[in-house]
Amino acid sequence: MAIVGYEFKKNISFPAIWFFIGLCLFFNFLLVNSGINEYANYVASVACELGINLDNEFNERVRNLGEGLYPVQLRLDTTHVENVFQGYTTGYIAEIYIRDLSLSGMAADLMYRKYERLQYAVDQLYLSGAGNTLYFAGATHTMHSYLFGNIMGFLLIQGTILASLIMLLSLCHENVVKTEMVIYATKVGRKVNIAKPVASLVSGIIAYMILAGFTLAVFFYNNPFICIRNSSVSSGFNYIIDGLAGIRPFVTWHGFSVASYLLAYIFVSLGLVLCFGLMAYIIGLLVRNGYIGFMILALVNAALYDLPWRIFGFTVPYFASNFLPGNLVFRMVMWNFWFTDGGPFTLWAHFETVGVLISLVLLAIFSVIAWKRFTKLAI
Amino acid sequence: MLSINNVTHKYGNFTALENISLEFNNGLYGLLSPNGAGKTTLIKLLVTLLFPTQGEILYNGTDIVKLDSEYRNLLGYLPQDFGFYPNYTPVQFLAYVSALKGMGKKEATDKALKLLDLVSLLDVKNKKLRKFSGGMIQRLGIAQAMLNDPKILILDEPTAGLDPKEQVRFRNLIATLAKDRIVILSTHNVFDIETIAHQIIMFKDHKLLYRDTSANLTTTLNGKIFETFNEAEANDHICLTERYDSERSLWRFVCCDNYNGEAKPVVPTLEDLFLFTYHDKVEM
Repeated sequence: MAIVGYEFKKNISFPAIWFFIGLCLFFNFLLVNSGINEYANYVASVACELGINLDNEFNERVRNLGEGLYPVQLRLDTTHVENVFQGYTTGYIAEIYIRDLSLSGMAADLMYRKYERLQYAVDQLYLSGAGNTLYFAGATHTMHSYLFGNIMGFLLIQGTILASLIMLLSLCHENVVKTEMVIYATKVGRKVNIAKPVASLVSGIIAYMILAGFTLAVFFYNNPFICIRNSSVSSGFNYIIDGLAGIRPFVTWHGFSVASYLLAYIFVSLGLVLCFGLMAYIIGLLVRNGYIGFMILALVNAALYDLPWRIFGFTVPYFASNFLPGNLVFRMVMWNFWFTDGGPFTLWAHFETVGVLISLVLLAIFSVIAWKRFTKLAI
Repeated sequence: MLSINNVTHKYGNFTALENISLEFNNGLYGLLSPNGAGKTTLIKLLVTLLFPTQGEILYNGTDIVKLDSEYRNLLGYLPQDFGFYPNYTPVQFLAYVSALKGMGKKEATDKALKLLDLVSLLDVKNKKLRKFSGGMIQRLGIAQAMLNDPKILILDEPTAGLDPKEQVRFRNLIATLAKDRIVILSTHNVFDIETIAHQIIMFKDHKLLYRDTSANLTTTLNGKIFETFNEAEANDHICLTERYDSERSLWRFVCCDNYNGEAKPVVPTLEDLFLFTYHDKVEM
């Protein structure tokens, strides 16, 4: 445990890490100050008085808001809103994907099955009245994409890069400063590379939390979410822009409020931060050079993003490759589909959670194998 | 007892050490050979940084690889190229190494301060290592090797960077330490070990060449070492050294046949043996 503490102290003394965190914070500061939506802020500010459920009481209160651009806009947005999930069926999405991607066999069966299951989620959302919650009314999609697409997406990328960097710097530091021989000849010896990943994963999580904490604090200062935090992310105002199936309701497998969706997002992001840390650990133990290790990590993830499709086409192995941590990050940044059906990129429900869990287990196994190999390596 | 039994180590197709067998009991052993002869490979095998391609190394009858941390707990090791953390102070560095050696915090602090005093670094114990000279770093390296009061102390080129006064202090210290432990000191500087080593071990062409006391080894050159002011005379034989004596060059050479010349016979030294043994490898 003492060694973990020492390794943690080493990690937080790497100037490169603080420099990168500083750059990220500066970028995030610009990002969160670039998208202030005045109408959304107005909705958020009056939501405390109006409530978030679009019922008769809500309509009555909205009518009393008075005149002005934003009150009028809010009345227009919220009057005569119907539950978007009433009568909504999901089977057509599967049919479009199967047709447009030319899916067949097991891939087609699994795609059908996924949307059959999604129908159950839709029915639950209908019964819960999730569709009739306020969120940010007409500004919902913009604000949802801004927070969960841009900001959380960049935080995820920064977190995974930081976790990889910390792990590689930690592992390869002894090689750079030539302390390897002294360290590996001590009682703890090569087992220091059991303490290092523990310290580095903790450091990676803390680095992500610092970035997320600062960024979200500034974001929520600019965009008060406090009164709409219990709105459902599947509000009728939210939607998915699907290149194949068109614009469709934002359906999640479980009913998420904005707050719980954010928390779930952070948990899965932390899972991916751990995944990238473990990937860096495996590569770092194999190559023992931080710079080369980072290049390999980037190349491996880039290759795994594109190669499966080129090799397998739209078959089950390609869809399985989207469980890979790198692909979960790329899909997240590009499509913002987490906790939803995952669109045409997956055949299975809960792809992000299952992907992270499978990846963590596999990476843990590979980490043990890499460490075992390292114990027999000539230094 | 530490035993090396028929150990061979290969890097790919290159044989760095071939069929070496040695035994070490308490005492000081000097590994003496030019660079590239296999000293560092042997030392790395002894500290488990490398593993034998063939053969085994036993400590009290058990393979050191199987003993793992139990064996390394007995080790103190100063590598040839001793690395350090520039932003650490000596106290911080020794605290970290102590933790790696499984020492408790209190024990480690006490021991670190004693050792820093021993290697004359106590005054600078809180100074960043990046401000240290090469000699100071080397002394810190010696201190870290002795932190756990090792039963086996392995030092690879320990006097590199030390000034003459420090070298003498170091030799005295090592001679004292060798009374109740195995000390293996690798060097290509014969003065490091000539007077203090119980046994000298020499390698040539990656094989064990000699293993004996300094006195016994030098007797092999008795009657064969000569000194002359005549350069031509020296060059007719294997010339070892040139030094100035009374403002003239005095040449020292080896003559392996019955010599009848005018050069004066002298008592051979370990340096003579070293230079003669490796005369095809050492630049004069």
